[in-house]
Amino acid sequence: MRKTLIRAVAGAAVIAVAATGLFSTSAQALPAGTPAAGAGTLSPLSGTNLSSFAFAPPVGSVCPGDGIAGYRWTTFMVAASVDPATLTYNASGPVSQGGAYSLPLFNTSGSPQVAKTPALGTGLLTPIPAALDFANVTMPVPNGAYNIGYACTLATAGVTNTTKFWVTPITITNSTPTTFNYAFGATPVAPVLGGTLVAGNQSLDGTFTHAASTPATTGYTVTAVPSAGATVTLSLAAGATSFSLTGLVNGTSYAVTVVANNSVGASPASNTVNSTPNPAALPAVTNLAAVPGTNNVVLSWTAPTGAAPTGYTVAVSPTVAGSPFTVSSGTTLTVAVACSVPTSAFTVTPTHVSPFVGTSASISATSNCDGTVIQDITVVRPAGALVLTQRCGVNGPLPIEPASPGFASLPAVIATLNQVGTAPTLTAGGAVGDPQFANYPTPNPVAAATHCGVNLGTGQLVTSGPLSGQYYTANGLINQVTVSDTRDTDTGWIVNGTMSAFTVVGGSFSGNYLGWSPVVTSTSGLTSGGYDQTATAGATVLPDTATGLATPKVLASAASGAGLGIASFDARLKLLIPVSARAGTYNGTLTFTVV
Amino acid sequence: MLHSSTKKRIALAIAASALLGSAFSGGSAGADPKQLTAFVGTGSDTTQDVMNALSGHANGVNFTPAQSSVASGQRQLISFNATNIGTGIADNCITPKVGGPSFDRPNGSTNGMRALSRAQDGTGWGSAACGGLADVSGLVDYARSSSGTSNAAATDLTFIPFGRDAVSFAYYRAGGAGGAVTSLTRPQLTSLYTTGSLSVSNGTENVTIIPCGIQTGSGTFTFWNGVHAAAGTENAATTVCNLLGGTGRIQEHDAAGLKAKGDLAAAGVQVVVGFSAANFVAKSNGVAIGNPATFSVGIGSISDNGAGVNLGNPVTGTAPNMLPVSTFYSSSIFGRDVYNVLPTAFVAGPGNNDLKTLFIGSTSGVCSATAIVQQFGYLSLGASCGSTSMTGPLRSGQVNA
Repeated sequence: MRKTLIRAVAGAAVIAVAATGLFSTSAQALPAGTPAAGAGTLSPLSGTNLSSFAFAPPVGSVCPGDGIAGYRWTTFMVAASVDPATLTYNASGPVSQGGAYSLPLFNTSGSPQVAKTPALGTGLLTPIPAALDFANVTMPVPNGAYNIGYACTLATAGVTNTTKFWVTPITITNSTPTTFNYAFGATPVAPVLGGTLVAGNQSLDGTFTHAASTPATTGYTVTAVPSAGATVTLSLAAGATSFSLTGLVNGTSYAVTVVANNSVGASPASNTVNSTPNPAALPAVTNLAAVPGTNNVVLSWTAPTGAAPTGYTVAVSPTVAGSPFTVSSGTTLTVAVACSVPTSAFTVTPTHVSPFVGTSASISATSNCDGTVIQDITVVRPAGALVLTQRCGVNGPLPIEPASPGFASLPAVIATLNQVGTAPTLTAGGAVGDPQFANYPTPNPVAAATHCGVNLGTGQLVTSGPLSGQYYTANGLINQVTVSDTRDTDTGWIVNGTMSAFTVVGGSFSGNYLGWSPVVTSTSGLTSGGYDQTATAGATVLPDTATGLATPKVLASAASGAGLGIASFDARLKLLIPVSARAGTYNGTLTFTVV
Repeated sequence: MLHSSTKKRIALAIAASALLGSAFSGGSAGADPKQLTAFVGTGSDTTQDVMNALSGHANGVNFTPAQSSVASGQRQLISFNATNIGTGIADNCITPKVGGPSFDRPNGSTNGMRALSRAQDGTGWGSAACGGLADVSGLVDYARSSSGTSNAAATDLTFIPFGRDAVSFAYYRAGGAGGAVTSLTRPQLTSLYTTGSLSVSNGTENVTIIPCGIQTGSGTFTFWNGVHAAAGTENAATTVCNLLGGTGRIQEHDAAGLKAKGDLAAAGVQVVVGFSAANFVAKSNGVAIGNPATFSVGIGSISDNGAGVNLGNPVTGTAPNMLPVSTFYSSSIFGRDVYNVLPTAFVAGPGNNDLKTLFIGSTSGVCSATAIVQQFGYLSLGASCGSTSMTGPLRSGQVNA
């Protein structure tokens, strides 16, 4: 033991590094295999194959179980390409994966630290060797990155797997058949340079990302190798994620890479991004105008703000003879363009001393032909409206009405244009005798009859059929309803009718006892003038206790894109009056809406 | 020498000591007993006594323990007998290393190599008698073997010779006239192990000799089969003896066991069994337990080695100064090297200087202890001691199978 300690101290003295290093690990590792948590210790941090060093897992490190439970603890030194979580072990230590370097660690007596039994009950890794060295490793040890550490293992079906491990990187350099140098930790991994660089005047700006390294990254070196000329380098401090290379040659392509550095060495270079420094484009001309002339277009513009251009370049598309034109002075240009060309695009770009460039501005125009005069006409198309009107006392022809429960077949009805009709019982304003509507088809809100009347007469008792004796029947016609749709949106429309309850003083019955048979009496149809109307009558609704007109029913409709025009609708009305209703003159309102 | 229960107590005491040491000294190994880090061996009955001696103690006598080099930490050996010497029961449990599980004691060369092989391949060793299959990785470091191997193509295990033994027949005869037959020829041995009995005159009368079987995990069993050259009929030939007392085959080099068999046989019938001459010497000289003279067991001479050569008796002199006879030991038929078997990965791999300086080469710790080796009836091998030229495969199989 005394010798062990002496060797450890001597090793530290020879390389003049007495610091104690920490090797950190992150998350718990069972069973997939990230390293176990905690910080171990190692010292010194670098040396040679003849140096001894102390290397211990975190204080209190334990295996998931003790030796009796089958757990062992073992050391390993494997190539960094090998994930310690995937290591398996045999009696000699870690099993090589694909021929990769794989050995246990040896104490200074040359004894491999393998297959040790964790403490009874606790699973504690003990006794940790006081000192280790590389005196007994198989030489040569190739230069490169390795991992060393402690692992807990468990044999299952003849395979001894890793169940937990503590790891720290180590880098071997200056390898010869008999010697090498080591440094705990590893060179950083290569940074990742952002895909594009921002080119400026003699500058390139960029960003990069970089994973943490052990030992910590101390800085970065950005290198810009030009296609010709001197390489430019830039040193960045640890923690940097962006850079700005300056002093570059405008117009020259540079291959830019980033390297991360730590105390072990430099990372591989990042991906290479090529970019060429150039100043940003200068402003465009303003007030660009194109005035058509006879077989020409006169361009004019205002010079851009800022640096004065040396001239302008004017490109024409479709191209014309002489395009692109160079305007070395002034801010106008007359371009000969045949009036047969429907439209030409004119692009004006200020020119500057290289490497500066101007921003383009464009305008389109068409030249005139000989003898042409022009008058500009302005007109407004109104938004249009969807208007619902009715004509009191007017009906269109109606076909024979088929018999239905309580009703015999009703004869056809011829059109009536007497405009007499029946006066409404009430007007919107309460006045009696609403004037008849005589201005069809143009609605006049003042004259439009918003309130017509329908007199269904006196009910007749049903004397035959299943409803015999249960109802009185009445029938009639609605006043003709007209829809006028002039909206540009042409979203279609629906005319619904809803019957209120029929009431009398001291009694009422449901509007469901009213049914109807709608017909489209007239429609604009499709016309060359722009009507696109296809109006469809609603379904026949029979008087019923539940499905009559007490809820909205469709009188007529037109689909979206098929509503423009004028259409008129009629319907035969059928009413059943329950014999349970008290006697009297009932009133109700049939309300039409259009949406 | 350490045996079962004693060793288990020591292991636990070491464990307690190690834990206390960790608590107060940060785990300094300087305070720990050497046995804590000693290499563990199991296996052959033949060489258990000499390996006990090389571990520091055998049968009440202290010896200077063999050690690895100073640079490698002067590590020592511990060696578990083939059977529990207190009970003679083969299948008892041992706990060879602190913090490790208990497992079945390997009995004999074959089982020693099996346990070592299971420590190498990680497939576990043990039976329900000792808690079931146990992972013995890191718990068995070497195996004692009284025989070599002929499978040189495989290199998993390296057989490292450290002494020269010889095997002849041990005999016991109760009753009758004229005593036992003390000399046989190899052809007579072949006949004996082929037919199961032999009638040979002792000068006074014809003596019926029956052979007894050695427990089959023994390296001596394997070797003795080669000597009598009737391995195919050995089991049938030894059945009569094996059935005596219902105790089956005899533990190797067990004079008491042979006497027990002979006492149960018909009066005047002589029982014989293969017996290590080195063991006979060690036991006769009192450095190993079980003095054959106590049980009236002798070791026989070979008057014809099968090629007409009279080898004579393998031992000479009188206890406690009995010595091996080199001419007999040198026989290619009756003489044999004895081995410690190590994983070749340790022998040929990096590091392991402790194991290497203990076992490998004529100047190793074991090979340097010539006085002890000779005291236990073995001839020193000189320059060939510690050779690593013999290799063989991992030995398959489980507990005493």
